[in-house]
Amino acid sequence: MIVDAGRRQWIRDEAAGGRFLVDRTAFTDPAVLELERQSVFAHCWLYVGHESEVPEPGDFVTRSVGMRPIILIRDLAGELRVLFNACTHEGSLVCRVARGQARALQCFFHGWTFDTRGELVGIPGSDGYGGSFDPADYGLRRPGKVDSYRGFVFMNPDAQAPDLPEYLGRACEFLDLVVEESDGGMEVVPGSHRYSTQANWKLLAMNSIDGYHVVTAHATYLEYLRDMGIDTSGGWKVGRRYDLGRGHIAAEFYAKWARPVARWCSQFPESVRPRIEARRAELGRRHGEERAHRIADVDRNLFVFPNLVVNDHSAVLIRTFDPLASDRLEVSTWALAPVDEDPDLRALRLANYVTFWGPAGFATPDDVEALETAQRAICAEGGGFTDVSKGAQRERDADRQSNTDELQLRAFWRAWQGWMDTCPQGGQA
Amino acid sequence: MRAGDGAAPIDRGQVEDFLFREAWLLDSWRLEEWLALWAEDGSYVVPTPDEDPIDALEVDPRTRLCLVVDDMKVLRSRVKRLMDSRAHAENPRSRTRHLIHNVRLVDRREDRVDVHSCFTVYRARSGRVDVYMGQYLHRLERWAASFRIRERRAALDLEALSPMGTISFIL
Repeated sequence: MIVDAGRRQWIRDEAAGGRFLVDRTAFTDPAVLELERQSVFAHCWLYVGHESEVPEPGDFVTRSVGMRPIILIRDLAGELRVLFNACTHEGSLVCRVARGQARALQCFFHGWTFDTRGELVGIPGSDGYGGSFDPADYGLRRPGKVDSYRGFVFMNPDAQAPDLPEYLGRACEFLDLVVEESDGGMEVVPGSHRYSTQANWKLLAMNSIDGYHVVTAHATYLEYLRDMGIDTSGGWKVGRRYDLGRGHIAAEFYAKWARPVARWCSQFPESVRPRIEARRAELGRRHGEERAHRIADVDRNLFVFPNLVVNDHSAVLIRTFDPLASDRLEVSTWALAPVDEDPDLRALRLANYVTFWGPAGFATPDDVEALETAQRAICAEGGGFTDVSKGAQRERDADRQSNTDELQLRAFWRAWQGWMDTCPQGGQA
Repeated sequence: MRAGDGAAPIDRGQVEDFLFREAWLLDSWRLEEWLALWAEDGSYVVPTPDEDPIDALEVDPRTRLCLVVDDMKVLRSRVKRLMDSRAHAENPRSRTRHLIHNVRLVDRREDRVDVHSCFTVYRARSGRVDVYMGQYLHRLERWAASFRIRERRAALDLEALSPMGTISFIL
């Protein structure tokens, strides 16, 4: 779809009239992924990890962020850094393990050695270098910007990008509500879920913010909740959806499952009820009833464009996902929990997390099935459109909206198209 | 050798027969019969692949994120879900073949035994064949003429759930 010379539009935004369409080549065209690499993944703030994953000087983790291998490391002076995991000599991976502790990082290939700040401090045969060669120019490269918001570490490849708090905008409000669950702070529980899906990353972005699919795709998970004694009648009480700008989305709702932070229900043993009620009371004393209600009694979903999900239900999930190809993505998820959490509550939290969000649980496999079959079938027509029109005509009327509307998806696509419009080639593919 | 005869030690043949029958029940989707193999306080745990395989079977699911942490109540719900046609990830069902090998009896007592073994599970579905491999720990106790399962752990050797994205069947 070419709207004017050189400007390609993948969305047809006629929401006021009741329709919003997305060109399905957005999910299949390798040229689109290349444009995303140059725009979305080159200029947006991307979630790297949580500060609690690298608590001590010398601690590091390695992973891929925005399709680039990185090292998240706390240097020996205690400062957090993100380094590109590529030797400045011939490009080998410097750190080839998932996590560890180091006083220096040595590339196995020729022995070039970097300190924990990424500075090049050792070159075997250094007498072979001189003249304009300056080791100070050969430190491990870094993204343009690195910053942390209340423990959540982000990077932006673009040194000219707006600062992190400006980029997050109102998403900060929802991160605050998660962090304030615990006075002692929150930490990532050891262990992670890493799994791939044969689907375009944007199918998972949509799925992560969609309420429409819950009753049908997750019918058996709702059945499981009922078997555990949780009332699911009439669906969750409709809460609020927020278009936070820049493609960020939040939703609040009121489910009946137990929240270790402060809501007991029959899903949990009676023995932990006094502890949970005490925590809830403490939150009320500390934050006042109104804020404590929002922190403790309300479930929330947060999406930070392009690929970070933070869900706060009967456990807290951090999910990020990276494209591997047009039709392949990899997901990483972690559980966030209060530091020094009561061991019984921690165990219950983890069991809930695993049963709902885990790739061996009762819900995520059905999402993966939906995304993978969509990716296979999307090419059937050789074109065609995906429809995200639900609730289009009541976008501005919060009172009439349903939690199964697709307002959030339209916000995602509008933001995404905005990034496509910034591509130097004018979005031609 | 009669049921409950304490004089005869648990032997490899009996244990292997039990494991091979368990595999057959899983592959033929006789999941209710598979549930009947379990003790009332049974536990099924699958650690995450990011655990070092050397330590994976020792992981404490109360403190580390795992892939499966089922007590019998959740395990029964898991089976109920898998037999429900609305479990979309398994409708149509995976074709699985659980292979058990390298069976070792560890800590053999009169009435119970820990069993370490290796598994290779092939799964065919949706035009793909996936391989899951790793090690099992079965904690078995004598029961009737056979055994029942007190604890079952499956630790994957994969580095991540890739290329398969899930474990949607019973590993």
